[in-house]
Amino acid sequence: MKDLLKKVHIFSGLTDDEMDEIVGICHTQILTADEMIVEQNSTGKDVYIVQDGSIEVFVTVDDVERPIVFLGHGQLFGEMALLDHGYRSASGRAGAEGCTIVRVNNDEFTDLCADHPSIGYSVMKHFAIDLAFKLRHMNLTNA
Amino acid sequence: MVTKELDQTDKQMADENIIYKVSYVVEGGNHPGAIINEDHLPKPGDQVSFDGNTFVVTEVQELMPPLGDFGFLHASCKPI
Repeated sequence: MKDLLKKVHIFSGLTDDEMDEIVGICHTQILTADEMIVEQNSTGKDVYIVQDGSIEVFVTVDDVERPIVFLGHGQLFGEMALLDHGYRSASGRAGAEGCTIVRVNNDEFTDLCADHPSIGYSVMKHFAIDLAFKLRHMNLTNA
Repeated sequence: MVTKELDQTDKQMADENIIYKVSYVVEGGNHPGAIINEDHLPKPGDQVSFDGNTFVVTEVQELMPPLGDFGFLHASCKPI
């Protein structure tokens, strides 16, 4: 697990001990092709990291699905709900090849950050960078 | 959107310890593309698979400056 997390950008810069703390709140899930992970407009407190395979992110407007992006190895999904506690802005499901994801619960993460503020500062900073990267990707895709 | 051409210095910095966070944008605008971590610097002619399809990389640019062990790249690609 630690080897995977070292390749996830938001955990960049954490010490080995800090990484062990993160590992302690990670839960692995294996999903089959097209299996739903979260539904748009639902509530949820989990953020997901793609370990293997991919997640298809899409929105549904007037009963028509519109794909947003495919997230592969090492990518985050659902982090906006972790940040703002709002409704899910998009749905996510396992890609055609299925996927293995790591789930991190917001409450457990918040407790961890309260106990280890340096982890919270570092991860939140990298969350912001990750969101900026996704925004740049969207800008390029829609250009 | 500002991107930067990868110059020779950047290519020489390619390191097996660097993880490249790559924004793959599919030419033509009909596909949402993908974001994938790669353990190698992608280059034109490479093949990448997502959404059950295989694509060929046509261009690679720096999207954001590198940070720590991570590089941030934009790669254009097209279906094979």
